[in-house]
Amino acid sequence: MRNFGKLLNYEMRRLRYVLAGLMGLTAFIQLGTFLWKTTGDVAIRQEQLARSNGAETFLPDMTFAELMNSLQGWFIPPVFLCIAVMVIYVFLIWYRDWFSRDTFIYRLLMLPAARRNIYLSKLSAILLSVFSLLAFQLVLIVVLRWLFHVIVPAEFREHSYFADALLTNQAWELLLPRNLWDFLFSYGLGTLGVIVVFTAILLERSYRGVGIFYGIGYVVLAFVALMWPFVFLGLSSFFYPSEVAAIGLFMAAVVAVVSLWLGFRLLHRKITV
Amino acid sequence: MKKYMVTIIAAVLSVAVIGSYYVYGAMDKMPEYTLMTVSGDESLVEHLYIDGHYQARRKSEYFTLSLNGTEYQSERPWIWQEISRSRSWLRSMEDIQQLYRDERGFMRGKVETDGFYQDEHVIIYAKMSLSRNIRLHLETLNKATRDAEKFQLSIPAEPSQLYVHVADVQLVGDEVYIMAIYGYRDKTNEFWLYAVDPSAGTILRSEKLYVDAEADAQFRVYTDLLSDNQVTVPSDYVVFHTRQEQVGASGNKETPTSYVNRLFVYSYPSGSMVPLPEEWAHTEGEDWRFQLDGTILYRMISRDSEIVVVHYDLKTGSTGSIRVNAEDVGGDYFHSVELRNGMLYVLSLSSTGEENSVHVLDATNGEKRYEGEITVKGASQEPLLDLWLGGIMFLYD
Amino acid sequence: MIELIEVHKKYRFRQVLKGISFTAEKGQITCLIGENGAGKSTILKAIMKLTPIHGGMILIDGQQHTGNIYEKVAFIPDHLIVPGSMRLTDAMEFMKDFYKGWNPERAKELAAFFRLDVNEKAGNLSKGMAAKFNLVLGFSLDADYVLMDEPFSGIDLFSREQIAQVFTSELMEDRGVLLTTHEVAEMEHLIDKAVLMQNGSVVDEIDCEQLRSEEGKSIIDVMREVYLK
Repeated sequence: MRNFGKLLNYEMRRLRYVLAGLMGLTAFIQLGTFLWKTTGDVAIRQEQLARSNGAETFLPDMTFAELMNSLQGWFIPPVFLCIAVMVIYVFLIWYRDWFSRDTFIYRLLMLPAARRNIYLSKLSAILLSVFSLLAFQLVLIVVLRWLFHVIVPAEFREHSYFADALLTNQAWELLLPRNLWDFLFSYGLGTLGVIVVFTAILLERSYRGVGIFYGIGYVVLAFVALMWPFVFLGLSSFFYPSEVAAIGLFMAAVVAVVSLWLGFRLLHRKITV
Repeated sequence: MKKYMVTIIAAVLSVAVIGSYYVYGAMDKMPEYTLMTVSGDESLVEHLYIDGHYQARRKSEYFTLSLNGTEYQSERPWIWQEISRSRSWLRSMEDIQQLYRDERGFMRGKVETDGFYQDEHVIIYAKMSLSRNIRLHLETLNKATRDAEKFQLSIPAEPSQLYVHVADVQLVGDEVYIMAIYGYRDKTNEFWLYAVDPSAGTILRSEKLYVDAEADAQFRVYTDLLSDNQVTVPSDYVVFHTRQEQVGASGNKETPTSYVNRLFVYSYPSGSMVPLPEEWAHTEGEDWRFQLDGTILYRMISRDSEIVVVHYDLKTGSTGSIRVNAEDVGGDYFHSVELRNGMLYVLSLSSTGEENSVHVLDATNGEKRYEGEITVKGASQEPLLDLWLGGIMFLYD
Repeated sequence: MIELIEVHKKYRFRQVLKGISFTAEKGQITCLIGENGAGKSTILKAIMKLTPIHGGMILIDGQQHTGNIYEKVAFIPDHLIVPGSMRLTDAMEFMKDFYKGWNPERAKELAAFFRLDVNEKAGNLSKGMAAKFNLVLGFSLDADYVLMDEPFSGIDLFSREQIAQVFTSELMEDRGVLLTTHEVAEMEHLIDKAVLMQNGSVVDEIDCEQLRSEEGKSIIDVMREVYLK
């Protein structure tokens, strides 16, 4: 257990500059474009007000939600970049240990710690990084909201719900669903995906050459195993819908357990440097 | 300790921020609308739901409200929504839902609701499918003894036959009657009646039912069956609805001119096909809705400020009608009207949007049996103005 | 004692190890000799469970690998397995974190002996310094056995002398050393046992002391006999 913690920390430390860079870039772009647009919109209104001698602005009041909606064209690309980097890192987190000049995989495999901790710490590092980026985005949104209240004078401002601000951005709507169950479901599925990919990578690394086919084959197999209740059982209608959902959930658990078991076994007995 | 800073910060940040987001989200509550009883029998609205949209948010929020309060769609997990959306039409069928509860095993895989028959002793299920021949699948279950039987019968099909469907199943004496609809590529659909021996699983008789006068060059007749709210309940009668299209004088089959709709009652015990009185025939363009409730046939027309319900007892032949005006039930206009189990359910709205009420009246004599009002919990009544109501529905699951 | 019994290994369709059997005793320096591709490195990796074997047994102190051998057996591969951006002092901290048998004082002494700057990043070291640091990492563990893969390959003369000094110190006294090398001539006077390999098989196992005293031959003589047959 302690070894797991140490390995996790090692993986996180390796990532710290990447994470900081992604967060920094996202903050820079989102804050930058936000300030630019908000101050611009306020200026327009002030000008209108002045021109009409304080009567009215002829423009609708600004709401935070509307601002988030109009800025999403700028806000979403850095989010995509974060996602792309994390997806690449799911592979890189293993392959860098083999293909770097230092072949750090030797050291990892020779640590006096159960080898499954290597797998688990890499998995946890991916998850922790993803959640940290999510959390950072949330913090940014709160900061933007506060800035909104600071920059926009009350007479130009109108209330909007926080949830609405997230709903207007298509990426946020998906990444931060309003419902906790949807969040657990989506990220649970994502974790399952990472587990399957990890095991596929270990298959490739254990069997070199043929291994790539084993790896791809395993991913396909896992996908089929997960989908078959919905494709076959759903149609036959022999099972009630709630039962099909339960079977689907069960299959997900099976795929997860089998993948983890297989991954651990490969690391323990079949892996080769 | 300093070494672990990255991991610790990441973990704390993730848990604290994402946790707060969901705690805050849970506290962000949308208004709770309910149906509040003013007077009358609450059991009549036990399964009544009204759907609508709450408009004050950026995206309108779909919900359903009932005696128990409001359920917003967005507060439900996606999986739950998908599960309840599948076979959603079944949720409105009271007897079918009861069967799912009582006879879970028998009901597996059976979704053709027209093929069920149920009384105190027995459940019968019939299904037809078409491949090279027509396959009739019959299942019976004795509720007390738990004896079950299954039969597969084959009936020759015509080459131009496109589909088959079991429209009704009845038990008359010791014989099971199965009413089937056959659809064809080159002619209008036909109704066939099969009498089956449920213990031997053999077809005793079969006949094609002639509902209305056959089409000649000037008429095309479409026939279908009026559906019943309670599909499994025994009934001696079945009502056919025919539509005669008069083809244009030039004989051009593609541009029909007038439509005449007629109703016919078929009685299983006697085998007779009797047309309903002439006033039940109507031409297209009138907004009549027909509903069969056991042995009483209703026809209803609802306009903004007036509802007329005419009923006809298939057994006795007695008839009557009621008329409901907007003033009788409060509100300024009728928004949604449903007939169910011999009751007329009316949702009426006021033009200010602040008084929305539900009334339940006896469909035969117009007696008011229930009155309820749509209210919102909480001090301010403002959310009532952000409310946009849909229609009445009944859910039994 | 490290004992290999009929160890087989296939790679793709080639038999890399064909029934390898030999022992490496504690307190002795055993040397695996053979050309490139003979399977020497593979044997070391197999002992360390860095690659699987397909037949036979590897016993360490009489037991098959159960649980953790990594406090007991240290491996110094032919290249430095420390990330380039990591400072040497951090690398030593890493070892301390994970290995109970890590001896920080010895590590400091050895680093000083080799004249290594512990604040330097691993990626900036020359080949010779990297090899020396590799030895620091390997020898600072209180392990019973040390496995070394080509410890002298590509190293300048002066560094080799330094390394050879460590070999003869008390550091090695109680340990079992198993190493592979090309530079037999350099190591000849240090080796206690030589295992000659060719094409994945052991062709000869020589007790060097005995060889010198009884037959007056050197290992190189024997190698000539065996390989140039």
